[in-house]
Amino acid sequence: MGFNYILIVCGLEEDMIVEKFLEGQTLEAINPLKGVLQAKLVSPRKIILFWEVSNLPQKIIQLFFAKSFKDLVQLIRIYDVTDIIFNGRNAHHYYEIAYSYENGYWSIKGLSPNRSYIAEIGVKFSRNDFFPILRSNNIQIPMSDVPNGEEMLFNLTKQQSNSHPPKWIDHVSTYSFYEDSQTTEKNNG
Amino acid sequence: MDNTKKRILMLCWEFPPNIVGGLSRHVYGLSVQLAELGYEVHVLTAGNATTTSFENIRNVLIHRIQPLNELDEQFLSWIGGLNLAMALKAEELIAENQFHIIHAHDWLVGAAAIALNESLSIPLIATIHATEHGRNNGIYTEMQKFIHHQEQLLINAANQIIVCSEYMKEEINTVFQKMEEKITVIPNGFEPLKGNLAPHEVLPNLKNKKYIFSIGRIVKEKGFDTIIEAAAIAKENEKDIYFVIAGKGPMLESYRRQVIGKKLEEYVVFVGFITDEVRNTLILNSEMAVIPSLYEPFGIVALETMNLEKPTIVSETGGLKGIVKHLHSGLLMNPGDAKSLLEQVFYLRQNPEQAIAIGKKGKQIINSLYGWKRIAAETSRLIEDTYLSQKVNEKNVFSESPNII
Repeated sequence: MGFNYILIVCGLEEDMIVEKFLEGQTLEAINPLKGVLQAKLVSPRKIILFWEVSNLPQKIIQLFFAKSFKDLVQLIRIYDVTDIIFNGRNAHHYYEIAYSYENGYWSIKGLSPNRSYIAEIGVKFSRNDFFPILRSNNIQIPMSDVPNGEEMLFNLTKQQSNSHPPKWIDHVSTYSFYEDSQTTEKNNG
Repeated sequence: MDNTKKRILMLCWEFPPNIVGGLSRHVYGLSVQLAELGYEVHVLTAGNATTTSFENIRNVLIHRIQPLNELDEQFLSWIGGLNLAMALKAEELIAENQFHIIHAHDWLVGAAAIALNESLSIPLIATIHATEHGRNNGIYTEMQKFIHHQEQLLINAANQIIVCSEYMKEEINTVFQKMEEKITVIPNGFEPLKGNLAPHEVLPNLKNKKYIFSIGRIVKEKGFDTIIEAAAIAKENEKDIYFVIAGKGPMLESYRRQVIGKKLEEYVVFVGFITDEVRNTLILNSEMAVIPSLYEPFGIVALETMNLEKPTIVSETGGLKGIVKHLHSGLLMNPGDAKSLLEQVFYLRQNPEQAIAIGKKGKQIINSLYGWKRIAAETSRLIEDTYLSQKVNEKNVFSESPNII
């Protein structure tokens, strides 16, 4: 079962590579773990992401944001985090790819050689409002003999580095959020 | 009672070392006491880069979680991210071990608690520490509407609700629909503070100076405006009075500016955040304490000053009026009334023997009513009842509908 499952993921043209990848590995090694997004390299330019599908993300999104999961665009973000300690905001750039959370797996190809990537699966609330569900391990794409810049298949979105704590932090006081008013301060601790 | 096999999943967005107000201390005290009673208590709370992701403190297992969107500029999205991360972490823990009760504290963890309750059929107890309606004396802005709605969802979903005072019970029954049958009043417990430095080590200008102590989150509903107003009246009447107010919050800078603007520096000072040791020192060496809240579901700081035998003046509102009996275990002032505050101050000054007796009585009362052992035992009873009724309900469902098995 597990073996077929991987073949479906990667598409027919990749069967041989995937078989090679699985050679010598136990099926447990590719089993999804609760609350974990695993990224594995299946060919020199291709990774597979897999996760255990849970009904909790859609429940939380429904309860907290009052949005129906099925009405939202489901997106994977692949962050280029080469030489970066990633904090969610400081990637060199990222790609966005539509996917289906219910699938439990997705494959991504065309990644650049000799770069490190981290993936997030999530949903998009609005144009610039991505809500991540899970974040993967870091994965290194091997060095290529012949560098090929055209392997990038997706639009590049520049992301500004930002490691400052959010501005709302001073407005939150134990139980609530205190909004600005004439008598409320902007900058204090 | 054998609690050794019962596991509690405690959800709270703040937990020591992250302490802003009473919530963090409360959940810490409760968790430790429940662990002492034999429960296996897992606390899920927000972490940051400086905290460890897992820790065992006095047999309480603390899992600190950072939302993936930890740098989110939108407070509510951040809280949404925290709820998701909490729920997923809980799912992972529950896969390893059976949990018997989820205990959620306030709306900030409501979505995670409800989702887990629905998905995994683990009974949910929610402690409602305060309401957005009470804090703001109504619901006006979009943000307040959102928080109010989250509170409503949590209250509806919980199998049992704990509130800290009769006042809060009434508030929930008024603001939300009647929930009488599932609300239990269990007061907050308190842990005596330790530490005694010399007051001038804490604040140099306190050397040989009498002062009145006050503390709380520096937000509007804690009523510190009333102290500033009282200080202005005292100045006008050339009365010797000095208020020391501790705590941090969104109004801190505004209040400090008011003090300077009204030239009240000799009458009142806002010292900002203080450690427990400094807090103990400042209470111990004060002349008396005042808690002038306009809205106060419980009033744990009054317990701390009363425990150190300080005659304490509290607003006649909320949980405070249930703690203090006027002229017996403390003094009551009219909320928001600076003159009433000053009347109580001068009454204590004019009656020093009675002031001492009130201080002693206050300590006696709170130690008999609000000791953690008693609070934890009451919470434990509720946990057992809630768990049992869930089991009974499940059994009834199955016995009434044999075909679904």
